[in-house]
Formats: sequence, structure tokens, C-alpha cells
Amino acid sequence: MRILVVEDQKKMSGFLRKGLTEAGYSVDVAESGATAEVMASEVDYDLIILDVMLPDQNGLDTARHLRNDGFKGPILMLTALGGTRAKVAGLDSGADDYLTKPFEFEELLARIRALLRRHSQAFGQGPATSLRLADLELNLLTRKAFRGGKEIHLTAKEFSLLEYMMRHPNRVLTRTEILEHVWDIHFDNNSNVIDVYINMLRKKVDAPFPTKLIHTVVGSGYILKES
Amino acid sequence: MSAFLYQGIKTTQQAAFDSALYNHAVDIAEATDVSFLGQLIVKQSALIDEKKIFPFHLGQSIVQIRAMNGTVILSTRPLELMRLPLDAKTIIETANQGATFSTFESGTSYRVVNYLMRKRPLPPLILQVAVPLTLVEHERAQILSLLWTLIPLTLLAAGLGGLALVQRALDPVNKIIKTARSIQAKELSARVPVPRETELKELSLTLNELLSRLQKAFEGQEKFIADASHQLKTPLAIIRGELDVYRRSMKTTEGADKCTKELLESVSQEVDQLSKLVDNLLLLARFDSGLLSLELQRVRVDEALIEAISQLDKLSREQNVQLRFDFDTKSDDPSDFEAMGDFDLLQILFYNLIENAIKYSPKPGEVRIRLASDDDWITTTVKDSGPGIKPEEISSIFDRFFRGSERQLQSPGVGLGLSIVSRIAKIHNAEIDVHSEPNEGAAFTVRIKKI
Repeated sequence: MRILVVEDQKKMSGFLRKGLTEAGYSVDVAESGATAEVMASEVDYDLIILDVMLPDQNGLDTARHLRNDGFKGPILMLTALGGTRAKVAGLDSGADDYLTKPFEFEELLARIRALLRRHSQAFGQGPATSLRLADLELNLLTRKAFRGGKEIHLTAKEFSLLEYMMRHPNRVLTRTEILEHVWDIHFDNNSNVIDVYINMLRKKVDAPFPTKLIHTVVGSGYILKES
Repeated sequence: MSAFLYQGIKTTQQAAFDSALYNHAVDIAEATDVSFLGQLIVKQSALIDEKKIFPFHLGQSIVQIRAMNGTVILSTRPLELMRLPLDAKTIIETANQGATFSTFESGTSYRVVNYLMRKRPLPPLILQVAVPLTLVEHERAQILSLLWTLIPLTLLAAGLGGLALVQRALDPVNKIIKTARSIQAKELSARVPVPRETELKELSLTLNELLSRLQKAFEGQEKFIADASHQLKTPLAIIRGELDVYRRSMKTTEGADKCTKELLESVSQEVDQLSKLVDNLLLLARFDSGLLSLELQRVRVDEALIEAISQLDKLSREQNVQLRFDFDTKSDDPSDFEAMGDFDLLQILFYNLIENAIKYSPKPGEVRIRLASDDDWITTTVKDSGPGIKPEEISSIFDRFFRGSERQLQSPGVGLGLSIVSRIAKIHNAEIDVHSEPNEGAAFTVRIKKI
């Protein structure tokens, strides 16, 4: 896997190169947007990490130019500005993900893995791009859920919860498991959070339909199955 | 005013009437012939001339011709019915002036012209033509009643018209005011309309110049904040990254001693602290500059809260403080937790409240978070198990850089968190309550209006 890091701060690109190389990627560095465009046209990179603030141009423009030049791989944007608005601007310009400085290196690696996985899935080289149980279908690329062909409107977290259950059908999932996997929260106590969220999900996924898919296993947790 | 007007009209009308009457008399005089017997003959056509318009009924007019001694020579009406008045004084005046006018009553008012008529070979005669004033009086009455209605109406119309004119004249001013009001810090590119009127044009141009200068200042500040974000965060990101990469490589080579590990851990924590401080300062700077242009949207408060809890999961376990989060309600309808808000800011609000609670809880300790929804409000309570807040300090805990005296000793931080919490709450019209008993911990309650 070959990654292009577009970053003018030498120290920043330094540790990125070091850390990514250690994680098993081959890394090239471009110090300006223009250089990045030239390099991307010569080498077929698997992923580009792009700083929004570059000396010669705005990273958003660089992303647009890369896309116009035909770069199809994932672009991960790095920026100092947080907030939804900045994120939307980044994603609109053609980036696939967005990370705010400073970030944990582990998170950067996780994002890169996810982007590469999603990308290979989109191009038909990896595992399925959708999950299905009975008449319930999740499209993992568009993050949309359908039941009986009708779209169910879920929030991002509700989708994650349903995706987790769809990935482990016909198996009892404990509240602790769900909380850890879906929300990355580790409570050492009993909380009714999962019960409330499962009920909210039921309202959208099960209530309007005759067959129920989400079942309570008293004393243990929840199970997703065709009854 | 009405009376003057009426008098004026009356005088003018009288003069016009007399002039018409005089002309009528002249016409009759010319239509009067002397027969070879010396008799006077008045041609009927002059008396009933319908081609001329008179302000009186011709049919009702009376013509008498008198000698200078007053003897009636000719009359169109039987004399026993009507004898037009003519005294010696009038005869002399008429002889001197050629014509005189008088008014007399006989059943109705008549206006009489006495006209000195010369018909040779006869001596000078006096031609008297009397016409009824009924038409004129009727007309006058009409004018009077017209005046009575017209004048108030005119006044009213003039008033309303004036008002409309004034409003029309002020319209550009109102437009300027309206536009100026609608211009916020976030859309300083708008300009007030420039009307054609010179003075107003001047005013508008001055306002627009002012706006241009303001816009420049704001844009400068926005750019400064963006630059500051970049400049402050890049070195932090580098330190952070270098540390992370080094620690990762240590894990694999297992070459580092305990001392180095502790050092790296400590530096790493300080970097996190500094990053958080930079974030908070920049956020407050954006609040203060009015640059944070927000469009509140339909958001799920519960998801913003649980996202904040998820971000703090690691910290709470490192600090040995247990987080407890429960829905304090039977409700499981997603719409029960919908409010108008900004998801990122709500998440920051909850993050700061919970982070604070973790900081001020004893280790090991517990932070309880409860979320409830009733008919109108979504209520979040964050309760720590710390020493509580002194009653005299409760009023100032939301001040920037304020840190409680008890608390200062225990934990790191600069006291920006709650100031940010109160700013975000204000944006959302949310209410914050603080309840604290000594050694019972402090409880912060945030109430956000449901949609």
C-alpha cells in the first residue's frame, strides 16, 4: 500500500512518514499542492493524506484538482479547524474522511484502514457491501437501511447499532458488548441506555412491519433473528 | 376658513349674476323698438332666448319700462300683480351710472337691474329687468352644503395624502434601517440600498463604507482565528504524533525502560491538556467575535450526550471514575429527544460538564448522568461525587478562568470549561441549574426545549 502525504510542515510529515512506514505502508511526501498533483499523476497511490493549509493553495482546491485529474483512491484530510461546517466543506471538495489536529496516531491508522477497506469493497475486491436479514437490508456504502424495499431513516449511531447486530445475527448480544462495540463505552455497571436505544431502533425497524427481527433475551441481552 | 370661502364665492357669484343680468338688460334694450306711433315694442325673442345660458329662469323674469318720473310705460306682467320698486334716488343713480342693481322680496327674492335706455326720439327711459333669485339661492345652498362636506373631506384627504407622501419620502430611510438591522456579523457583505435622493444617498454611502470597514475587520479576525488554530495546533499535532509514533515503536522493540515510559505518558497528558485549552480558547474567541454563525437544526440531544460520554470513556477509566448513564424516563420515542441545536456544540457542552465532573470526583469515584424528557423539556443532569461547590462560589463558576478554591488544589485545568458551557447553553436558550451540598457533590442540570 502506497500513501502520499501532502504536508508542508517538515516535522509533521516526518513523524507521519515514520509512523506510517512502521505500520507497513510505503510513504511519499509532497510539500505543496502542485507537487502532489504531479506526483499523483505519476504514481498510482492507494491513499492520499492531505493537509488543508498548504503554502501554495488551499487543500480543498488540491482535493478538487486531484479528483479532476482522475485520482479515485481515498483522500484523508487533516485540518486545524474542527466543526461540522469545515468537515462538510472538506467532504464536498472530494475528501473521504477528515481528521482534526492534533490527533492520536492510532486513530489515524484506524481511519486509513477503514478507508482502504471501504475503497476495496466499493471496487468489488473485498467483502460484501451490504448486509441482509429477511427483508431488512443495509447498504454499507451509502449507510442506508431498507426494509421490504422501503427506506428506514436512521441516525448514524442507530445505523451503527443495527449494523453491529446484522453482523452478528442469531447470536445473543449482551448490553455490555453492544455498548463497547457501538459506542466504545465501557461501563462497569448496569445501565438502561442499551434498552432505550434498542427500543428506539425497534420503533423504526420493527414496529411498522408484521414480523419482528429484534428480540429480547431476558437476563442476557438482545438477539437479531427471523422468528 | 369655510365662512371666508363662502363669502368669497357669494360675492363672485353675485358679480357674475349681476353681469349676466346686465347683459340680459342690454339685449332687451336692443330688442326694443319704437313704433311709428311712438309706442315701445319688446321683441319676444329677447325675453325667451334659449341660446343663452342665464343663471336665472327667463320665463319668470319681469320686464318693465319706466319713464324718468317713474311712470310705467310697459310691463310684461299685469301691474296690479307686480310693480317693480323704483324710487327717486335710484332713478338719479341710474341716470348717472347707466345701471343700478337692487334686490326685493315678493313671494321670492328678485334681483333687479335698472338700465338707462335711450330710444330716440323718445326721452331716456329706465328699463327694469327683474329675475328670481331662486336658482342662485339654490346654487348657494348647494355650494354651502358642498362646502360643509367637501372641506372636512378635503382636509382628511390632504391629511392622508400628506401622510402617504411623508411615508413615501421616508420609505428609503426605512429600507436603510431594515437592511442595517438585518446585517449581522456573519453576513457583513450585505449593503444598505442607495436611494436617489442626495441626502439619503450620502447617508447610505457612509453606512456602506462603515460596513466595508467592519467587514474587513471581521474577516481579518476570522482569518486570524483560522491562522491561530493552524499555528497552535500544528506543533501540538507534531509533538503528539512524534510521541505516539515513538511509543508504538517502543511497544514492538520493548527497548524502553519504565522511566522513559512514564515520561512519555506525562508529556502526552500535558499535550492533551494543552490541545484542549487551545480548542477552548479558539472556541471562546469565535464566540466573542460573533463569527460562529449558527443555523440551529433538528438534533438528537441524547446522541450528542452519548457521543460526549464515549469521548470521555478513556479518561474516566484512567482516572478511576465510573461513569453511570441512564435514561430517567420510560420514553423510547426518538422524537422525545429532539431539539433545535448545533450537534457539535451540544457535544462540547456535555463533554465539558462531564469532564469537569470527572476532574472533581474523588478517585475512585462516580459520575452519574441522567437524561429525561417530559412534555416540554429535555433534561440532562451530571452529578459528581466531589466536595461540592461553596455556596458563595456558585454565582461565579461560569466566569472565564474562575476556579473554585477547593478545587484548584486537586486537578489540572484553567477554568474555561464552564464558561463555554454557559455560552453554548445561551445559544440554545437552555437553562443551567447548579445544585450543590457540601460533600454531596455538585449536580449540573441542563434543560433544553423540546421541538
